[in-house]
Formats: sequence, C-alpha cells, structure tokens
Amino acid sequence: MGKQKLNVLVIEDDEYSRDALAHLLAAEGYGAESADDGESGYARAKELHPDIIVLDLSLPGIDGRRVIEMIRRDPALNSTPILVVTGHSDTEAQQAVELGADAYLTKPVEFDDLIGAISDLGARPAVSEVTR
Amino acid sequence: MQITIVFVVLLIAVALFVTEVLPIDLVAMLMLLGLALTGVLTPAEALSGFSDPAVITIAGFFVISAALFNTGVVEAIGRRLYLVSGSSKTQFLIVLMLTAAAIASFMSNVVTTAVLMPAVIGIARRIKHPASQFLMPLSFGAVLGGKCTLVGSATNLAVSGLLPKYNLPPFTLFEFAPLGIPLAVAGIIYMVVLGVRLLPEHDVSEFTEEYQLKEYVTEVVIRADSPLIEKTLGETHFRGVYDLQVLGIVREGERMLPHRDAKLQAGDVLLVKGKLEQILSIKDAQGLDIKSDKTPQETDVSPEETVIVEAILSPNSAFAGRTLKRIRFATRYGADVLAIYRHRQALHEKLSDIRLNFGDVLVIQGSPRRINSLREDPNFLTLDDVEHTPLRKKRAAWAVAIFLLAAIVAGLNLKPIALVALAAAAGMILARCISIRDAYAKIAWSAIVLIAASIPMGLAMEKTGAARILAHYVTQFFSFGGPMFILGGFFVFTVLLTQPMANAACALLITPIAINVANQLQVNPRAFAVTISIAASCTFPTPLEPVTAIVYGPGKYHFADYVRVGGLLTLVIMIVTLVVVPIFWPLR
Repeated sequence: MGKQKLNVLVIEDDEYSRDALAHLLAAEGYGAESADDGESGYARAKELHPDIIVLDLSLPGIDGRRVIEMIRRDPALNSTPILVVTGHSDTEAQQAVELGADAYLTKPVEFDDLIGAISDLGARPAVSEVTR
Repeated sequence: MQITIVFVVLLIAVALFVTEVLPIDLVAMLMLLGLALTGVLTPAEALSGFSDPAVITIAGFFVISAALFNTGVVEAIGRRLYLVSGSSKTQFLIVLMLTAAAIASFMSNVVTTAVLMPAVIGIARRIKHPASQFLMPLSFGAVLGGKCTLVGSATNLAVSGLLPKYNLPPFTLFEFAPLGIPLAVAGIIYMVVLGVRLLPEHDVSEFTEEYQLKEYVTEVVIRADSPLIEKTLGETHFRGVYDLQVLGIVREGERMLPHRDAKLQAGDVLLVKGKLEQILSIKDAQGLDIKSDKTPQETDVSPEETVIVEAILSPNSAFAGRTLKRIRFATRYGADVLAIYRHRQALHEKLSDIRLNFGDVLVIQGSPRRINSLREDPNFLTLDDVEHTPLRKKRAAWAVAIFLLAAIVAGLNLKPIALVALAAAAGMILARCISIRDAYAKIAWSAIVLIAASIPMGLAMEKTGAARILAHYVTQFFSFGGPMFILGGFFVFTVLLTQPMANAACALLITPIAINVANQLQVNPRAFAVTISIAASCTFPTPLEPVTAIVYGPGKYHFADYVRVGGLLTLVIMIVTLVVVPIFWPLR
C-alpha cells in the first residue's frame, strides 16, 4: 500500500450517496471532499486539484455531462481521472465516457466495485497533456 | 413581635434565594421552620403546603408528563417536527415555537426543551442555518406555552394555591388561555420578526466534538413488519427522522452505497452512524431492530431487565486484530454488541467483520449477570452503564387517552384539578404507561418541597399583617399613578426579582402583597394574581432558570444574548399583559 494519500472529490447532489461515499473513501484512507451541484463541484475541482473526481451524472443546474466537458476543457484538470456514477442506463454512462470520463459505475454501487475502481484510477500513471 | 419575625425571616430568605448559597428547596424549608418554631405559624398551618391542591397537581403532572414521554408520544411529535419543518428558516421557526408551546402548555418546560433539542439541531443542520438561531426560540416557545394553562407552569399553580386563602376561587385549567395565547402569538411574532435577527449566528457543528458525543456505527435491520418497506430512503426521510447517517445497505451479503432512490426491502441491513442515543432509539422504532447475534439462552430476558454498557478494548486484550465473528463474542459472553466506535476513524464494515483495535468502544447489551462477568474480564475496561429505558410504545394510545380525558374533565371543571391530576397519574400507572418506581423517580421533589414550604409564608404574611403593611406602603408611595400604573410596577418588580430567584418562590412571596394592594385600592385582586403569575415566569432575560439554561451551552450563547433578545421579549410580554388583563379580569 503506497502511503501517499490521494484526494478524491465527490460531486453528488444526493446527500445519502454523497456522505456515504465520503465516509467510505475516508475509511479506505483517501482524502475526501464533496460538492452538491455541478457549479460548486467544478469550482471545488479548480481549487483543490483532486487526484480523482467521482461524479454523479444527474445534477441540478449544470448536469454531469456538462461538468465533464468543463473539466476536460480546463488545462489544469484535463488529466484528472473521472469516475462517473449513474442511476440511469449504460448508454448514458457510455456517453459520459465518450465525453471524457475514465470509468463508470451504475447504481446501486457496491462498495467493493467502487473501491476497486478508485484504486485502479489512482494507480494509473499520471497522463500528462492528453491530446484530444 | 411576630410581624418582626416575619420580616426578618422574609429578608433572610430572599437573600438566600437570590444568592443561592444554599439549595433553594432547603431555603424554603428553613423559612418554614423559622416561622413554625417561633410560633408565628401553628404546626398545622406550617405543614398545610404539603397537602395544598397546587402541590398535588404539580406532582401529578410530573407523572403524567413522564408517562407521555415514556410511551414515546413526545418523541413521536419531535419526529413529526422534522416532516413539517419545511426548508425555510421562518417556517421552521414558527413550527418549532408553536410545537414547543403546545407541548409545554401541559408538560414541563424543561422536559419539552430537552426532548426537542436534538431534533432542532438536526433540522438546523439540514436547512443550513446555525442552530443558535433556533435553540433560544425553542426554550422561549416552551416558556410561552407554559403561560397558556394552569398546569403549564409551576408559578401559575403556586399562585392558584394562594387564592383560596383570600376567599378567591383557584384558577381553572384554561383561565390563563385568553392571556396566554395572545402572549404566545405576540412572542412568536416578535421572535420571527425581530428576535431572531438579534441572535448570534454560531455554527454549532463542533458541538458534537465539544461535548464528546461519539459517533458509533451499527447495523439496523428492516424487519418484515416495517412501514418503511417498499419506500425509498428519500421518501422515509430516514436520515432526518432518525438522525442517523446511512453508510451502506447490505443486501444478500453485498454492501452497496445508499442513495435517496434506494427502495428498502424486508431483511435489508443498513450500516448507520450516529450518536448512541439515536442508535438506541432504533430499538423503539416500529419494524426496525439493531442487528445483533442474539444468543438463544438469553432471549427470555425481557428488554426491561437487560443492561447496556460501554466497554473499551483494553491495551493487552487478546481480541485486538480479530473480529467479533472470530472470537464468537455472542456465545462467549452471552451478550450482544450493539455498536462500535473508533476514535477519528471511519468504519464501514459490518460489525461482525470489523477487526477490533485497542481503544475501540463497544456498546454491549446483556443480562445483568452476564454484564457483571464482563466487568471482570481483562479484555475490556467497562465504562458507565448507558441509561436507556425502553419506550413503552404499545401503551401510547392509553397515555394519550388518559391525558385527553384528564384535560377534558379538568377543563370543564367537572372535578377539582388536583384530584384529576392524581387520578390521571394513577391511571397512567394502572395502564402500565409508566412503572410506579419510575413515577416516583420522575417527580422533581425539590420543586414540590420548594412550593409546599413557600406557600405558608403567604399565610404568615397575612396572619401577622405583614402583607397589609407592605401593601400599604406600595399604595401610599405609588398612589399618584393609579391601579394600572401599580400593576405595571408589580410586573417590573416581579420580573427583576424572579431572575435570581426560583419562579414559583418569587410568585409566592409577591402575590400576598399584590392581593392586599388590590384590596386596598378596591380593584380586582385576581387581575393582580394573574399578572404576578405571568411576570414571575418571565425567565427570558437571563439563562438562570433551567429552561433557558439548558440551551445556553449547546447554542454557545452569551449572557448578553439573553438580556438583549429576552429583555425585549419581556417588554413585549409586559405590554400585551397590561393590555389584555383588564379585558378578561376587569379591574373594577
């Protein structure tokens, strides 16, 4: 276990999911921050430069797809891994991946899948300047 | 000579009441002894307070309140509060104060405030406003509600107890309502419009850390008879209603992240985190249970007989690094682990899968015998027992019925209120809404002794003419102002004296003088008695009475906050009182 603590930003409007995610990540040794809508989520991302972003697709205001676009367009964030969590269909999740998300999970999310996905994304060699 | 004794005893008593160098009930008793041993009062007169209807009524209502509390009725109202609180600050403030006032009009102000406080802090967090904006209004709402009925506050009952000594009929149950309701409405309007703006905006989120309230994790099973089945977490307001954070849902052995649209099914297990009090209240919730590996031989122990303790895993415990499942805790100890707390570390496993660490705190439930053997076990350091009286929810309907019947009988004046209170208390015990042992334990004997011992002082002031003389001075010095001016003067004087003094004692000392003043002015003494009663329970400007003190720490208030917000409220109360009293209790 590399003891370098990775920081994860959770952007999720559902307080049940958001707080449970933050709790689970903290329990697994990650630093966890959270935001409850797209706009503040993007602002938090710019401010914190998290190592990984966990993003719900259906958000009030600016929705998850738009947040992915904004993050990918931002030079400071465009290489930050994004894990999408969605309650909707796989096709929507696929769309998100096309927009630039790195992985997705559909709700209900199992603890083990989530931890697995996060640790995979965290272990990936940092890609500098992804060309897209 | 006797009159000198009365004045000396009175002065010493007031000094002792105000400085509180001695407990106030003891001061009242010494005051009584001073009057009885010097022969001012006959022994029968001195002890008459203990059989006074007001005192019996107070004792009865302690039992009635406790029964309503024990059967979960009050708690159920607290949970409803969450559902009707809305999301706007003003709406919540109004609902909160109305609820507190309604409950406190029949129950103790302090109990009302204490019961609703956790819910209020939880809701404040949800609607993202500092709890300091709501806690003082909560306690003020309870005090205002107490002014609406005879049994709502001890001062009303105490003053009522004095009236027959002046050949005046005692107050009826709802006699205060025509004044109390306008006061409550005016008070709430003041708090919403102005008061809340004057309150500090302290974030009390650190409250939990400061008060060392540990957050435990536990597992909650959705039983087959649960009303939550087929509803989503969001629909059930699970988090707000139970004040527990859902960490995960365990279904068919898999742990899943919760989300608001997750439908609950029978047999689901929720991993939750929360304060111990909240976790234990799950035991009383319908269709929910704390999951534990019940040991067969102990299931015949009734929940009333089990003991709950907190135990820390000791430094040299053989169990460190092992799970509850591995050590077969339930069979080994014949007790259940209800919840686990680990300092500064999040837990997300099922309880049986958590690898125990030194310092983990376990909440353990078992029969007294099993728990006692655990206390000897070197693997654990047992801490204090956790007080948890299981709610008698099945008796709630009885409790409500008895309470309503009592309110109707007393409200219609069919029987004297003291007898009604006693009968209702006995009824609560007969209907097993409260055990007789618990009933005795819930009577605040210091309040009973304080009032019972203070009532005869009025008698002594009357008998010796002390009250008449004091009244004479008041009427002479303030004769220029007329009766309304003097009534207002009494209000101010009573409010000032009641801050350092116990409310009921203050009312009992001033009322005899006020009634004599009214008689000398040839105006209605009842109007004066009502005004003193209201003024003596104006505890708003200081945190010195239990009902306002109880929110002082949690709200992180300063003394000056009470003076500012409560002082203005007292002014509002005074104006409304002086306007309304002459309407319903005409001076002439």
